[in-house]
Amino acid sequence: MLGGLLAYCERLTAANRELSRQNGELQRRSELERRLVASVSHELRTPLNAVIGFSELMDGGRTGPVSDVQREHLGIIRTSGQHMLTLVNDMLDQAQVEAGHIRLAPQPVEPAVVVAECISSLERAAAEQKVSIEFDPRPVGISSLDPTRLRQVVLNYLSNAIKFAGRHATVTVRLIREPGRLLIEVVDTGPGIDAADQPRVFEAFTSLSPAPRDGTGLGLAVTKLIVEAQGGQVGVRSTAGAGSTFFAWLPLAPAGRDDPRPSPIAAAVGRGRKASARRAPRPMVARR
Amino acid sequence: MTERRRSGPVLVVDDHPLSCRLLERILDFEGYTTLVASSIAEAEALVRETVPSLIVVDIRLPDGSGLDLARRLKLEPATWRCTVLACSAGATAGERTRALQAGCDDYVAKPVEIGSFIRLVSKFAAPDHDRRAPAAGGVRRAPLPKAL
Repeated sequence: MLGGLLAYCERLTAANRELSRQNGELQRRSELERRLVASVSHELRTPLNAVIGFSELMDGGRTGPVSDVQREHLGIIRTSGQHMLTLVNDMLDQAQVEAGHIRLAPQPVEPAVVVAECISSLERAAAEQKVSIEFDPRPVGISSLDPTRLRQVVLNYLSNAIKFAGRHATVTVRLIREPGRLLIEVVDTGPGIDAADQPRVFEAFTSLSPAPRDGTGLGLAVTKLIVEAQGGQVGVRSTAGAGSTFFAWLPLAPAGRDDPRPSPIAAAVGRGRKASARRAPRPMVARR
Repeated sequence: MTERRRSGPVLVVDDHPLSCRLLERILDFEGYTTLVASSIAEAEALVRETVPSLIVVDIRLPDGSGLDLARRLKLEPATWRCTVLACSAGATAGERTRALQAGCDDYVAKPVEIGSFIRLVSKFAAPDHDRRAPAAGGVRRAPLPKAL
């Protein structure tokens, strides 16, 4: 009996040793993969610096007069460069999150201010698609969040909605603050998503559109990774023909003030916003 | 905010010729005289001759890390007042933190956003000539290849 126990202990020790070795090997490979992606990202961003930078200089007329046709071509070069940059950034984000290297830097921010900035940066894209964006810019309260990651989530959802909702659609952004968490909803009046396709929308390189689009195929997958890495949750509710609602729950760091009082900054921004964001009645409860 | 803007040339340290040329052009259009170095050794030689008002330094350089150069410059009596901006295509949160820890005053990610870059430079350095139309001059550098 003692011999059997000793043999069992030896097998257990050997199994532990093997597990430990495999764990070390996995960590080594994960680190190598992260370094490889970081290196590829660096090598791609360097020429993009020249492509985007010089076309921007010319487009701005700094290098001499530019004809309408030249301006159109410069716009194509810049847009293509920016598209490639988005792809590179998405790849880097995905690799960092998967390797457990996501760095969160929570700080007190007013989420409504971040959303308003995101809407401003996409106003041109929305105007081109004749999509109107609605947002109630009133503050929801200073929250302890990583503003860069919040911006990424909002920009991904919003740019997706602008791209896929179709011309003359309306996209509504909602923020709902609850104790300990924040809900971001982007609601569009587009064609919606079939129920069978909904579970796949957050998978990498999934395109549900029959027409070729200029997305990277990584945006929603990266959004999911970023939100889940913070302990949050993403999802979509949609009915074919009746629009979609993409949502993300983000936990608020305990260090933040759990106090939905308006901040003076957000109040000022709210008063100052006159652009395309039309004020919508504020929903009292989250639609879930 | 009452930052005292220093006068003097801006030194760009970058081994990628097109990145260098882009920064030179942007700075030249804004009225700055530019010095260009493609390595730490070249940068140190130039700094011994002329103390720049501001240095834009790439992190990955052929003879070492631009952050080591930043650290040294911040310890030298002649250059510790120079503003040092790290500029890199790495663009990760870790890299920005390392740059600030090395003594850099700020970090610029490539691709450079021209408007933000100009605002940042003009916060620390004063232009020394009025340049509104493109012309030769304002830049001292070795000849660059026509294409890569």
